[in-house]
Amino acid sequence: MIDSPSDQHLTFQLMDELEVGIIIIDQDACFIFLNNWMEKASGLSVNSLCGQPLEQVFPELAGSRLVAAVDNAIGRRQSALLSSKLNKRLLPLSSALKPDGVMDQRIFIKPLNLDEGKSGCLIQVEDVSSAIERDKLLKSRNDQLRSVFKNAASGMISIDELGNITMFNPAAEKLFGYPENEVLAKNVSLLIPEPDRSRHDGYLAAYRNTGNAKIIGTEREVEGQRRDGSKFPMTLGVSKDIIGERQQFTGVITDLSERKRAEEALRRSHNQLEIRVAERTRELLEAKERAEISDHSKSEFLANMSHELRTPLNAIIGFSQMIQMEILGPVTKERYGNYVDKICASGEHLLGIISQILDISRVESGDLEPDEEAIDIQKALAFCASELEPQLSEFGATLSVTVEDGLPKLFADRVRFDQIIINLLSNSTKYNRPGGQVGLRASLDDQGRMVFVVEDTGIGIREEDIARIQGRFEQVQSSMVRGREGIGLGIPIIRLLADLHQAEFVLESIFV
Amino acid sequence: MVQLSETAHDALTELIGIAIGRAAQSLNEMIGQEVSLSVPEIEFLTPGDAVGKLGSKVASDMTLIQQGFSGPISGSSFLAFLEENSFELVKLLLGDQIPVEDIPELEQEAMKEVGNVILNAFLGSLGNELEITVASEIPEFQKSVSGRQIFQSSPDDAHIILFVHVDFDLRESKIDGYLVLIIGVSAMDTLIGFVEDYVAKMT
Repeated sequence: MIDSPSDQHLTFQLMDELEVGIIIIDQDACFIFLNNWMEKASGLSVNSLCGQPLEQVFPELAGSRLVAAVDNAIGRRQSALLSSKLNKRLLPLSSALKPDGVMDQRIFIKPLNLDEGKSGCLIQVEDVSSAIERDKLLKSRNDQLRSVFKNAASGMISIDELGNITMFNPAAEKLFGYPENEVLAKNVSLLIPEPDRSRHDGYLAAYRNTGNAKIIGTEREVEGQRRDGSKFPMTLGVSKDIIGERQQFTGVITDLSERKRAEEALRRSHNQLEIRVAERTRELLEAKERAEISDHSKSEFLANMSHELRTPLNAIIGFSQMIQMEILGPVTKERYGNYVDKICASGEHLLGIISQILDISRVESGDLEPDEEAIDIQKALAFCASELEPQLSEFGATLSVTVEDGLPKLFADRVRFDQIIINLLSNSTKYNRPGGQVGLRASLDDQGRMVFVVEDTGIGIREEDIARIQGRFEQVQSSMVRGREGIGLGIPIIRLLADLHQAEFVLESIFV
Repeated sequence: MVQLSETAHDALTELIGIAIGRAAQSLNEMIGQEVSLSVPEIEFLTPGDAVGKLGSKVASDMTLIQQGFSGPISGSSFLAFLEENSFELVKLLLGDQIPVEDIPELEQEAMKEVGNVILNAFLGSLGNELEITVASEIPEFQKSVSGRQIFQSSPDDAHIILFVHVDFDLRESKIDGYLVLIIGVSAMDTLIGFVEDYVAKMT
């Protein structure tokens, strides 16, 4: 009990030492006492306020809940509490913690029993500005984190130590197809497909017991299961935290479906590419081989050709020189007629070879455009036969020409046609036996094609040689028959010219 | 059990109705929204019955504001809400300026204040009508309380429970609440005495 003056002194000292504001109001709602704290905060002195009505000192508070609460405390003995959060009008106090504004307050109002049975009221004021400030900071920090959580592109899911979901961000909602409220407090194994689903509780329990987890702090590729039951590949990174005294695990999830699709597409196109590369390599190798062969053939051909060209050329020069040197004496027709013949023959042979080569290269390079006209077969074959007369008589062969009745005109290049026929006839003549026969026939087959046949009773061509004639420079090479003068077989030219007209050329040899 | 004459019972019911009306008014002033409070039920129960009653109505956890009172009648008054309802109420109190995520932190402060306003209005009105002074204390806040726990402090039949089921009808929502007075048996007798005086005065 506080009775003695020294106790009273202690009471007032106590009041002035408190770190909260104290106002004592009397029955008439007038000030009786303010403590130090309140004086400082209000900027008013207890002496100036004593006996003043509350509403007079703070007219801005008229009609406020604060004033009503004070009246209730005095009149009805009711206690009240008021806070800045819900009340705009509280006491006009300043705080060091809020230099520019009004102090954030928490006010307690309690009825008091004053002397002589009078009632009064106690107003206790606490400065919660720092708490408010701290709340604001916490809130802003909270907002930041919340925003991160809400707006993260990756799914974020937190679970407690039993595996029940405590947080599930919007990205996770999208990934798994569940709205947040459907998964909160449910077990996270809901999102895990079998077989891991059944194992998850075991993993958690094991971790709780041993503290060993392979999964914490690492990122792994796993499968997730959506609400509709479909599965998808995802990365999962798990971290652990201790909130209060409980453990919490947070998983960050990225959907890998797109990446997997892209990888698969890449793999497929890579495979296709490899196949194509292999094919292309094969093609290139083949082409290389062919080119090498052709190159080889070409070199051989060149070697041969240069020999073939030089031989007659040497003869021409040689014999000419001998005539120059008058080796057999002064020049007369009788003495040197033989040499001149030989020069002529060599020249012609040379010309023949050169023409062949030129023709072949022209046909091959596509320079030869057929100059097509309607050809009277009777007349054309007669012409060819006449051209061959010198050779026929030289080799002692006879030629018979048969043309079917009513043969239509042939639409072809006249010059080339003649070349073909003459070449064939030439070969048949040259490689014939003495007194041999050459036959030339023209007819229509039952498919309406015009067929020309040149036959001879000559030495024939071996089967393996016929086959060899298929290769291009092989053909040419075999056309340079050594030991035989004249134009040569000319098979390659014939084939090329035939191809030019889309005609078919067949070479056969029957040995009897 | 409580022995109330029919007239006394009716009178008390009426008084409570008036008191609830006052409470609605105060709440209205506080949140600036139209509030109407209706009272579907008033009952006098033993703690055991009350547990059963509340237990059957309320399966989940509740938010509680408790305010003691004293004077010629003393006891405890409670305002109880289902947790989600108290959240709704706080949302209304704090208005739109506060984002929903911050409400849980402010819930305690706000609920204490609104509970204080409602209970003070209620007790004040009863006191006024019965011409007695019922002093009230600063309220306390409790969260996640089950129906049983409310009456744990009074496990025996030495107390009577005045159980009032209140519907808070706000413009955009309806909130269920319970206003409970726990009074000692002798205090109950005193109260009945006052009620009968009141009846006598009216007639």
